[in-house]
Amino acid sequence: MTVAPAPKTRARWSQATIYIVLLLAVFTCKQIFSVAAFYPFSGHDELAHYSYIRTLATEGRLPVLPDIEEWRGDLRGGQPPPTDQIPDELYTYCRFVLDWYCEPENLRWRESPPRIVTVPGYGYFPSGYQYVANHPPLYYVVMAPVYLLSSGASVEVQQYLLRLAAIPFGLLAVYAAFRTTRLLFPNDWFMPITVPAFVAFQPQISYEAAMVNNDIVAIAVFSLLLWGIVAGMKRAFPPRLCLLLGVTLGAGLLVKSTTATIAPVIALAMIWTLGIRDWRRLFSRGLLVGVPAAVMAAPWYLYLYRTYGDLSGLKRVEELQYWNSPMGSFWELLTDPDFVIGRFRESWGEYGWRIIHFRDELLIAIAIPMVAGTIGMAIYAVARWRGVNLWSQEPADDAQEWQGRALWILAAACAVSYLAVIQFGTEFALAQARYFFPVVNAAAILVMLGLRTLFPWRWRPAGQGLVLAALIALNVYIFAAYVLPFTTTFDQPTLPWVWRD
Amino acid sequence: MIDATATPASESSPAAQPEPVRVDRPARVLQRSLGSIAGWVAFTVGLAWFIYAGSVRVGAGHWLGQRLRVQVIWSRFLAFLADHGANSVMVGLVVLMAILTLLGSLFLLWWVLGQRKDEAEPPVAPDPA
Repeated sequence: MTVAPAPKTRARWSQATIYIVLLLAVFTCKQIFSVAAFYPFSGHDELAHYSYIRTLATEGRLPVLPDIEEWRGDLRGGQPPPTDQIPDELYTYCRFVLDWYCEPENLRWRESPPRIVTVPGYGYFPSGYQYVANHPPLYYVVMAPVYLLSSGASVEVQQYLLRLAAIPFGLLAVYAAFRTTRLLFPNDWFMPITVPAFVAFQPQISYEAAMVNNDIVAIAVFSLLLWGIVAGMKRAFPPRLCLLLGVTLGAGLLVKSTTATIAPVIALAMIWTLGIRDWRRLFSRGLLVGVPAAVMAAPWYLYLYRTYGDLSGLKRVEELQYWNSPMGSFWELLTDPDFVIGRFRESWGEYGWRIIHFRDELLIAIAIPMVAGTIGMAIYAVARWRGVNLWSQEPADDAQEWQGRALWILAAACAVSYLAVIQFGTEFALAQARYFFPVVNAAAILVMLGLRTLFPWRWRPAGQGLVLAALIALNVYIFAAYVLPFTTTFDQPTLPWVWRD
Repeated sequence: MIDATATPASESSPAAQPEPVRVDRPARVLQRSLGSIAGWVAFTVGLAWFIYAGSVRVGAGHWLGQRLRVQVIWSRFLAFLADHGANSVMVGLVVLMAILTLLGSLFLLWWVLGQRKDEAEPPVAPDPA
């Protein structure tokens, strides 16, 4: 008896599919490792986000920012003012929290963490309250089951599980980067390889995707929206896609208010693609985006208005955080080199609340390819505008009109997002680069396109390898020189526990 | 006796035939230039050397400014995990993830170096709608 070989009927995965599956697998492993590598609760506001999840999961309600006047009135009446607090058992991690008087080595405070502080000239303030209580609830609703399922575990274990639960949103962002790039550059390998790799290995995006924070969900939602915008520009915003955009936008508004900054970009993309002359179609498609988004988000913003008297709750934050004063005027921040450098530092390092600072040499090494990519992007834009064939242009490279428009829209998304960071800085001292991270896919596409412009097209395989190798090396170095030493020794009493040039 | 080599009828029909296979490609390794292969080997060796024998000037934490071997940092990190209640399975999982990330990254790099425009690829990727 002879046995025949199995018929070769298996479907062949495309090379692109193989690549993204490999990349997502590597990203998953890296993220699981990252969850353990970062010191417990050291992520941006992890304690506050964890506390929000706890309040929602255990009490079935949203936490509320204290009203300072009411709180002080209660205090004068001798009653301990009830506030939604960060749990006492987390005081040992108070260094990673805003607004919690922090002296964890003091036995008195460790046993009974401070909840009221006196600020000379300002009066009494609550301390250790849940200062992210004004954030939309969707992320916390999604995470509540994870909290409840692990309710028997320690807070640290719960935190690690919640960190793990952030990884799928990072995967979504990387996958959306891949699909967006494939849409824009269907005949190229350099871009679909380097753009998702950049997102997957960008240290701060990876950090966000390994912490308890709604940021990574906002990044994932933005990434989907950018993918949808590019697809819409290619296919003239068909109704189904508009509806999907609207639902995603609505979900995004329920994750983080920052999502609102993408709305004008969607509008601009639709106007540019559909044209104003056909205003009926433009209007109907606009409704398909706007109505679901508004319907989904309205209850939350109504709640915000009723609770805080505005649509963000930021006025109350301003009252509570007397120290969080404006960084300057819009124009001052726009033209301030230190502001730009500060945001650049935060885009790569400054883990947690600006506690791990990269040395200047490392930042310069990172800045060189970023600047080169920006210059390359400018060369690309001018060459394309002038119709000049560059040394880096492969004969089969796409240069369709819609693609050019889509790239401008991605640039506009980056610009709007950065201006929003500046706008935040005109009201608060804590304007941070992470408010720009939601458009990381757009930024990655533009920078990688710029780098591609600088490589002769025959060198692209080597170029894409060089980009990936640099990203791998950067991650290994950052973990070895910064993250692991910090995590390992954070408990040890030391004064200069961070580097500052 | 049943002849196990008999092909089911359905598989012999034209509709069930597998799609024509393109002309065999040269071995994947040959798709990479010698420079790419040399570059990958150099990177892999360099990375391995850095992890097992290299050192870094520490940029954060209690060892700030000290030059320490990466291996020392790594072993102390694993000790930190154990000291903070991670059992050997959890520590092993962290080590496994680190190894898989490194090996996966190197494999990905190898794969990427051989990737160039492929005529067999569908020209247009599907979009979300």
